[in-house]
Amino acid sequence: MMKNHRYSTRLAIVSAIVISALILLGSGGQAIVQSGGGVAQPAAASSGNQTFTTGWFGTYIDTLNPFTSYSQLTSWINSNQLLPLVNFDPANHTIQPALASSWTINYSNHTAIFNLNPNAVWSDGVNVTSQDVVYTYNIAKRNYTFISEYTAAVTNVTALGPHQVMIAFNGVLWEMFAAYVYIVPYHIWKNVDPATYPGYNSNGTTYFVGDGPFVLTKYVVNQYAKLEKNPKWFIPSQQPKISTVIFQEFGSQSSAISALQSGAVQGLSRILPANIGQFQNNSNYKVTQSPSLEYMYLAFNVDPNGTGNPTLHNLTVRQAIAHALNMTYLADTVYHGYANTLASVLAPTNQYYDHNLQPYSYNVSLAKQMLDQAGFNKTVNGVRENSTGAKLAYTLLVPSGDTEAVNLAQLVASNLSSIGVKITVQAETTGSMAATIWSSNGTLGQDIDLWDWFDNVQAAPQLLSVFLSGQVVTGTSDSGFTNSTYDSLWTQLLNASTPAEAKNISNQMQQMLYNQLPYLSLVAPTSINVWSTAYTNINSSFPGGPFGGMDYLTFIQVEPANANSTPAGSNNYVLYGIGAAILIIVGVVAAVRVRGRDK
Amino acid sequence: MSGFQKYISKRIIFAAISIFIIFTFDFFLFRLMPGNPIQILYRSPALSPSQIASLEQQFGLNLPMWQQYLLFIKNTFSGNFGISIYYHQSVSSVLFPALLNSLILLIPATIIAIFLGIITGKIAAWRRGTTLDGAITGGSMALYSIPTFWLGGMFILLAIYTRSLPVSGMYTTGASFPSFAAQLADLLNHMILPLTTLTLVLFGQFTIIMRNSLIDVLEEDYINFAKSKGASDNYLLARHAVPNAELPMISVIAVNLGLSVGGAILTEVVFSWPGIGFLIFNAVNARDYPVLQAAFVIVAVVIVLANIVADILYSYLDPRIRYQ
Amino acid sequence: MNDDFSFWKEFKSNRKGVAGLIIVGFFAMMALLAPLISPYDPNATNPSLFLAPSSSVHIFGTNTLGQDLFSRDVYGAQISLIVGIAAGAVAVAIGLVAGLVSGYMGGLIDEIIMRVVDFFIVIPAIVFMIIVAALLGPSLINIIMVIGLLSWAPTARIIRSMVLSIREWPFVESAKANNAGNTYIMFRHIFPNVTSVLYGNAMLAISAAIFTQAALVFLGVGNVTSISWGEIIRQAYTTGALSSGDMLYVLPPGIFIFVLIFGFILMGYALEEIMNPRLRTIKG
Repeated sequence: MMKNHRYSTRLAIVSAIVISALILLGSGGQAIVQSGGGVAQPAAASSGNQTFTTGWFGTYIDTLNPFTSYSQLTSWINSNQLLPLVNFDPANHTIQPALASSWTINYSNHTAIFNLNPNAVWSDGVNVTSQDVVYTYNIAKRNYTFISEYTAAVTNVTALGPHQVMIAFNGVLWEMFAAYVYIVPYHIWKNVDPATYPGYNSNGTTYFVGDGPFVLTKYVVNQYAKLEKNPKWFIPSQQPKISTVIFQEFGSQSSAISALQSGAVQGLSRILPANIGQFQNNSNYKVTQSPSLEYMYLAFNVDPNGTGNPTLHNLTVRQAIAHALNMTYLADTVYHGYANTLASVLAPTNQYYDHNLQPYSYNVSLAKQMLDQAGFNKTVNGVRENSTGAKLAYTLLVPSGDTEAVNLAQLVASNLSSIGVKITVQAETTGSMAATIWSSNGTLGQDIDLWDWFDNVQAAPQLLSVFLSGQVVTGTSDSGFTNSTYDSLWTQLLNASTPAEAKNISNQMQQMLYNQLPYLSLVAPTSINVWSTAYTNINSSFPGGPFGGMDYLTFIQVEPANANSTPAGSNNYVLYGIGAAILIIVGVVAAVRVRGRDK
Repeated sequence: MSGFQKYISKRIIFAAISIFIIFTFDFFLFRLMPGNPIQILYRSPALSPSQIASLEQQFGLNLPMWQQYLLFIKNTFSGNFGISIYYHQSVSSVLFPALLNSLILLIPATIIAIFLGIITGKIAAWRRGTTLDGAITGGSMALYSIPTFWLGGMFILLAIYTRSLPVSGMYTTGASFPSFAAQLADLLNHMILPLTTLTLVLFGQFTIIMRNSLIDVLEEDYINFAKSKGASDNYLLARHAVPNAELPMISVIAVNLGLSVGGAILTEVVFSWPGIGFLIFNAVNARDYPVLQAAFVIVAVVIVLANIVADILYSYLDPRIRYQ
Repeated sequence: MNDDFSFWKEFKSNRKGVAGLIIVGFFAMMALLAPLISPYDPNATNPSLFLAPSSSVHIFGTNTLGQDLFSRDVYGAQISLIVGIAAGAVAVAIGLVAGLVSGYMGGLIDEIIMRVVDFFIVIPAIVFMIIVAALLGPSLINIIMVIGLLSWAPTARIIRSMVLSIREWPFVESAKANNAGNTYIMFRHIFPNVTSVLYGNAMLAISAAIFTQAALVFLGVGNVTSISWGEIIRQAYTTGALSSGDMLYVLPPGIFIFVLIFGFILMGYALEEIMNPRLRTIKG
């Protein structure tokens, strides 16, 4: 028995050691990783030495490889460290110089010549040349990349000189897409497989090589990416005023908001209406609004081969549904008014959005009248049906992870019950939703779904391609809209030789969708931005907001409000940490002692 | 072969069978889930059928099911969990750091909860039948009943009101620490709330287990015999009952590891703690099969192994059960 | 267990049991009388009542849609009780049959069933439930089945250990000698003698199911379209009400879950104590 007793004392000691070892391992591991790689900070930078942390939630960095990433956050991070040939200014709908300082586009013979900025240099000192551009465009056209659509209209890229490239193209749209193709350093990428490269070199001397104002110095999966000022950044007029930017990933909006309150994060976009109050009444924060890139829609299964309720193939039924929804009420209730109604399938800030279209009027009696005329004039248990017994009863799929979408769906259901259309809301994970919608035989299986699109290509009507025939099998179209006229308009759009012609064609396509109603666009939520007033010169005019994943200028412009202020650190909390350590030790010791006393 | 060796080899064979079942089960569970991962992950108008085919080939999704299965078993045994569909990196490079982060939270919480549970459980058993026992047992059941995610939320609320403790992540992100001590302090600081949440929930459970096993031991004949010879309660408890009750606790705790892991997942999600639970939570939404498969296998195998270790330790320390 | 009257007398004198019964009874009334108790339609929205604070008309205030939180908290009792009791029943039923068969038949069948039980006890159930719930979709019946099918193993193990001793009793031996069928013996002779442990176990299974249902909803894989306490908490997190510090939004549903689970656990332990008097806290 004595042996057993000593065993329990030993167990206590071993446990204490295990706890300490684990904690040390945790913090030690971090230290080791941190010391590896990284760009040396410019000594005595005149622009101060400040870190700006921004938060992101909902989706995560998948990879930092610009060719294979599908994450908006990755695209935003890369926009700070890799330059495209040109940038798109969504406020003025113009193309701005980036890597290329000047260019000439010849619409008659379909070629464009770009002159690269001769000062452009990678962060490891190697000059940026036309070889990098040619390499990037050739990779971008490969099958496995997600940006091949952006380069689809590019037929050939040739280097005319070390700083001059010629691009041959089919239609005018490609130049809009050029803003989304980040040029990568050939001398780094030639040594890796571009299909699987994570975008950075985790165990080499050069962690990351970029040519933007910042470069990545540390990335921890599911936690954060840290970018530091690029000492080789070549545009003097755009020198950042801060030294470090951190993109931190959060599991939820609420944890991101708590971090903003505690000072761990300095700026957030996509704040919820519930949280505006606490920041608006606090002089330490500034709250603004920006137009959104995201919109919510209802997709009706109009797939001719689809297995949903066939009454949705009847245009009058869809139109009646459109007239029965009170969009303003939806926006006011679900988003507390921080949302706008819209009429097309592009985000209202997209330069191709057709502003001639107006949302369907809210008119319940008209909706009822339309359903009566369409033959659905018999009402059984509150549900309309026609003479053959076809009922206006639908299942509405909605992603369960998006609370606002679920709430919207429930309100849509209660709105439609007033015209005798029965909606059963079914909230599922996006995976289950996708499985119901895109059945394995290439047809659509749902009745209606409520989902969102994030219109991240503001320069081009990219989302119009969702409605092409044959987009069901690719898991893109959730309406199954099929129209050969529409398809041929898309081809014309891609080959349009002037921007005006492209605009005209895209308007025709949007009108067609507006009239045919495969989609009913509901609302576009406004992006609400909050940032710490310790920083100034943050601009909210960019769609999605300064921290919404699009604005490539935010971190070049932002500057500390007071140059002398010291950044808030976490060291205020050291005491708590020590307190916890003591508590652990005391607990362990107590356990041992209590036993010892009874000897 | 001695009885002890026989017993051990039997346990190891059972564990091997369990692990094989887990592998097989794991494979089919994820393959039968609805939703093509490629479809859901890359819902993009920029995706052509040829790109989808190329992706499916890259992730081996185009092979017949049985080939995928054989490949999976082979790779899993060789420690190759494949490439994460979402992160485009090897699964192990995502999974093992997360596992370490989870252990940093889970092991201290479990150990602290066990020690506190032993103390309170001992007091309750010793004073069984008194109001104190009633209060401890009632309190433990109450702690056990608290929903983990709600308790975490309450702590977050508290932290928001007092503006004191960090409520998400493991470190102040990107901070470069002047010294190792500062870094350690930062980690501990981030750990306080999740650790407290998890410890409290586990604590109630362990108190009840300890109390009940102690009472069982206290009723055994040899204790009554010692009592009749005039041994004091204190002496009996410290020298005979506690050591003997701790033994069954080892296996009870090992069996309950699955539960602890469940508590850890909820805690990790609430506090954005970058552990394996948080990873699983994200991977479910992204349909990242390789990560989910590997996470499930790793967690289950760790628990199976912990159970074997507990069994062996138990049978080694308690000769009575060796030859069962 | 052989005499219902004395069982009830025992139960009545057990303070834990009575407290548990009162708690569970309270929530059962709340669930049944929800339409009478709640002052508003729990689904009625009102954009002008965005997160209205507590007042005499809305005791717990409103949510972001302007829905009355008190009414929603009252209705929330329904789902918790339905899922808890139904899933608990599924788990206990499967556990009972598995335990009976395993313990009575012995041999290879016992070995196989016990390995399956080991598997289900060891695997991290919540991980498994998240995945399976996402797989099957979140309808009420699916959630009940997922929870029930994944939580029967502890019951099976306990029943089996009881059966192992009961099957050696003389009356079982004599039934065997009279050529009674196995099924007959298991359900006619052995089953009545394991019911005692079943009651306590059922209460614990119900409490676990209530917890799991709330956790699944919280993680977004449960049914988020029906009113439940887990869903109210989830909405508080996802709509920013929690981070805005709205106490009366998150506090009541959490306390309700906690108290209801506590009630079932109290009843479970009381029943266990009645069957195993050594564990008693208060004598008599």
